[in-house]
Amino acid sequence: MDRLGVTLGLGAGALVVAGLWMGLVQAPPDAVQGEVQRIMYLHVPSILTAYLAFTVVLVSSIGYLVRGTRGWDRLAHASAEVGVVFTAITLFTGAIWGKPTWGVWWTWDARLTGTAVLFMVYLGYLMLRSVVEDQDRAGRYAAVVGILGFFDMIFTHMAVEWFRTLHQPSSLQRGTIDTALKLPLNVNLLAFVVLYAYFLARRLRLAALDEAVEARDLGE
Amino acid sequence: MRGRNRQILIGGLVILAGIGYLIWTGTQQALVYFYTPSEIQAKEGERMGKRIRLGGLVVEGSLTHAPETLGYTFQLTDGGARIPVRFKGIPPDLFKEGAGAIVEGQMGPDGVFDADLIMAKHNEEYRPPSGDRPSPQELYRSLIKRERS
Amino acid sequence: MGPWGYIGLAYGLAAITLVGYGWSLGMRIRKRRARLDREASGRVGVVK
Repeated sequence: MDRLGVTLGLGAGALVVAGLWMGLVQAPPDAVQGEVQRIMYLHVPSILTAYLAFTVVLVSSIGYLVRGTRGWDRLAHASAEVGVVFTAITLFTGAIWGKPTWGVWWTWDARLTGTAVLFMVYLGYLMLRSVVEDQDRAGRYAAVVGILGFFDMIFTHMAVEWFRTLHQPSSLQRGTIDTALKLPLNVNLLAFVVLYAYFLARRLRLAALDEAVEARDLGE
Repeated sequence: MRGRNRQILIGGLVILAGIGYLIWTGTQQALVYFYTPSEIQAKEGERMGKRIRLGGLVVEGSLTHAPETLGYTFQLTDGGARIPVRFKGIPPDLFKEGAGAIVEGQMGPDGVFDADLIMAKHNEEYRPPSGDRPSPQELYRSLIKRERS
Repeated sequence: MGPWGYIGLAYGLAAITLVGYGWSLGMRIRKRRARLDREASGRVGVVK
């Protein structure tokens, strides 16, 4: 593994251990929900990291459409794949948190529906890339999906402010988390962001190797 | 920018504008996830017999429970109207007086809402057990928000 | 299931997902590298 990969991997590992200890041991339980609120330390960092990943997809998709260089396309593709992983974690940790608090694993309110659509859009993005043979064409089509998906992301995030939902509004945005619970959340968020950077670096390495294999196949 | 890319970009923006418009108009009706007690009271006849969701705060002192039949009765309020609800089953742990709840079911002919599902709606505040509790007015605002005329 | 059951389920599944994804990246990288090495040494490369 390259040095950047090793550094990010070790950093992410250390932060995840710290985050687990803070979230599961050091943080107090919530006044209303009790212990089960600890699922927040996974649920919120994973969706925020997915937001980061899909924002990188937006920027690099525009970059690719404007410049047409492979680097932008590789970055968009890599970030989309990592973002899908974090969105999946958001969805199942949300369901597991919903059952003991709301009483249901799932309901079709605007926030939950929007998040499910977000997951499908970027899953579709990855499928589109694997179906279209020509790399440049796949890149252009995917870039359009990558840009559109970003708007679903904004819609989904704002849905709890704009509409009536079962899901509560964003605590971070409204500043309604007590410091005792906020610090563990921040540590876990940092851990997830570094984990994202690690996955992204590895995924970019894979993309570079993919292109090397392809270039060699064409050369022979 | 190459011509082809520009075409795709413009095509994408047109599709996006269309989707945005559909979402925006659709939300005016379809995205009302639950009705408030005041809305139900204002249009009681219209919604009778239709499967709907009703959301509000459980009125303090209104909750009764018959352990042998698993039956619950309570009232939901948004600070204005109060709608009586009956339910049979096991409510979630966070369901209690003074807390937010959304119920699914239909309005009965006797003016009592027949619920077959209770979901507890909590607000966005997180604090250790020793912190201050929010006032009922704050709860109405954060749980229901946005009155529809 | 008590609160710690739900917490365990959420953290367990998240761990499996993250470790699984990291593993899948590692495997895919290894496979590409092996292929490039094989082709570079000229032992395969003809069959395509």
